[in-house]
Amino acid sequence: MNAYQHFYDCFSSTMDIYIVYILEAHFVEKDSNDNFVGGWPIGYQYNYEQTKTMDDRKKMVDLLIDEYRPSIPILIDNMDNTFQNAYSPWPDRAYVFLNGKIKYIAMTNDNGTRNTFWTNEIADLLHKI
Amino acid sequence: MVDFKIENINRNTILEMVKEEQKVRYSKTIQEAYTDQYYAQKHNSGYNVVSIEIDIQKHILRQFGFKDDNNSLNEYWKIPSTYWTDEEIKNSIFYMKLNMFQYPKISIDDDLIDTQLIEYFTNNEISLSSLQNQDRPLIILSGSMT
Repeated sequence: MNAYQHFYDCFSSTMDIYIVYILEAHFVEKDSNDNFVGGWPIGYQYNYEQTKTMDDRKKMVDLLIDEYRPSIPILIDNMDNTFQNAYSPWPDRAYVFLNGKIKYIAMTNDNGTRNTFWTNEIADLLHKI
Repeated sequence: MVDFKIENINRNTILEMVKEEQKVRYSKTIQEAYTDQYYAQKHNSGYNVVSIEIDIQKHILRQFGFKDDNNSLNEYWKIPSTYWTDEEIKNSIFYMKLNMFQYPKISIDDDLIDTQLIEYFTNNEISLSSLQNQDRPLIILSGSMT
């Protein structure tokens, strides 16, 4: 999130930048004994079920704002996940559009890692177009 | 220890390996390691982050008698694409079971696909296409709280 905010601070005067909140990446499912039985847990600091309603999503965005204080405008994917279905951003991904065309799609390596911050790739691209 | 080459490993071994990976990933020990790392990072910006996922997968390779070098790891990461249609394997490890991660079906220079989104502060519906202004790049950074 810090890289996103830094990017926004540098470039928001010359382009339109938004966060689109989608399905949770690291949601968890637990049994009655508090053992993880599903989801993608990455520690006890995050203990959230997958969002099932728009209110759930808004509450998660509340948490995001509390933790990171982004000044980037935030939009939320609808409960039919139409943004997710069209663009496959889960767990996270970035895109650039120009005059109604897709100009950049962030990609990860096979193991889910990335070679650099996507915002660095976008900054490089924007110098070229 | 021998090389892990996906085409040389029988399916039952793959199944046991991914089951074990899931067990280790969900274990209290690993979840505590993630938690410790989260707070260490939060309180010390110079903290050297360890890739817990890779350490787990190296551990699984060793446990099953394979080398844990980069070649073996690269082959281990081919399990999802190799066994994508095997329901038992798919349901044994969450990153295959969740089936939400997909490579985008879109390509560079495709037309923008319009979708309806909700503005967080106003609750108003807004279309993605309405955010695009002439000759001005539109950047979408997509993700979740976690």
